[in-house]
Amino acid sequence: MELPTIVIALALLEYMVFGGLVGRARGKYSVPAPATTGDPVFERYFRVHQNTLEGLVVFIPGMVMFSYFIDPVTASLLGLVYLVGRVVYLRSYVADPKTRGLGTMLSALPSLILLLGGTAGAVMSYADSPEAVAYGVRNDLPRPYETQRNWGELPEGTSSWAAVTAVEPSPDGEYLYVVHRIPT
Amino acid sequence: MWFIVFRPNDVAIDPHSGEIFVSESHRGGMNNRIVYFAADGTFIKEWGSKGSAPGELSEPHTLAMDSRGRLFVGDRENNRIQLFSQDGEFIDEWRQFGRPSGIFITPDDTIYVADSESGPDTGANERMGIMKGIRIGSAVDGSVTAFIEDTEPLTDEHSGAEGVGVDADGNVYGAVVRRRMLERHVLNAAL
Repeated sequence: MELPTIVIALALLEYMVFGGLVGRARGKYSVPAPATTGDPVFERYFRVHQNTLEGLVVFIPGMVMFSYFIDPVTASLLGLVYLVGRVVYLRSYVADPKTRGLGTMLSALPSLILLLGGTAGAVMSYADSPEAVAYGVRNDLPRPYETQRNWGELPEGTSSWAAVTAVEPSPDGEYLYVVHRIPT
Repeated sequence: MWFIVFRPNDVAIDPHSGEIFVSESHRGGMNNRIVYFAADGTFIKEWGSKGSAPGELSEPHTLAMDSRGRLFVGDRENNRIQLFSQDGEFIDEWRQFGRPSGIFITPDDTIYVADSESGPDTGANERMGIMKGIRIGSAVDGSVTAFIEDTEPLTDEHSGAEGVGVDADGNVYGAVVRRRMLERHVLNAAL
């Protein structure tokens, strides 16, 4: 979940930068607080900031849902498109609000995919989840262990595991014997 | 003096007497039996034949012994563990641990059972809906208390740990044939 977290953090930082731009525009175009109107360029910065806030409501949960149920790397790539889309949106909106179409699409479309994908993933996962008990065998037992995959350092001269079939600690607890079956 | 076993699966040795037990055969093999040898290798007796009734076996894939010397046979194609005395007397059958590929019993009689095959029937009587992984419980009363879910618990293919071992600190090791790796499972409280 590192990558999606980084992308979400970047989206929040981007949002804060947009807020900073609104503050700067207040001074530059002489629109003192609490007014939110009075100068057309200021109003554009103000609207971009507000629109980004509205977009985040969908984007952030979408990132989390999609990462969890589909794939965090794909979610992060979609998130990058969103980040760039917001910059395109800012530039075009400030230049001329009529040209905001591309920027809108580049940020709304990834959000929509994240939301719908994440929802579909959750529905599929729910439908696939097994019964609590099958043939008298429980699937709903407590899971108190953390799994470390690909554990252990191989001895010198062995580059990778073959089919690992058995593992047994030595009686003195000093060693772990592992049998792996190399195809002949 | 020699004795031929066909595609043997596992060996268990009584820590006190040094006597040896071998389970054979692997899937589709010619024998479905436990063979019992003295510590010096002399044949003592054998038991078991193909079937699903109590005492009958179908691919006895794994073998372990509890602190009382009872034999736990992973009767894999029958989706059960069968308990025998060392003389081959049937004691009980346990199905609550899933389809046993590997069994490990610690000195305090905690039992760890690796299920690597539950899923669609490939002709070996697998059962759908049982998640693959390692189930943990008591070798004394057969209660099941914890589960280590495999990373692919519901794949159609056979997967997950086939072999299971536990060290003195309670770390559980899974020998994963299909993914070609050793996995270690550590209690969350111990991390």
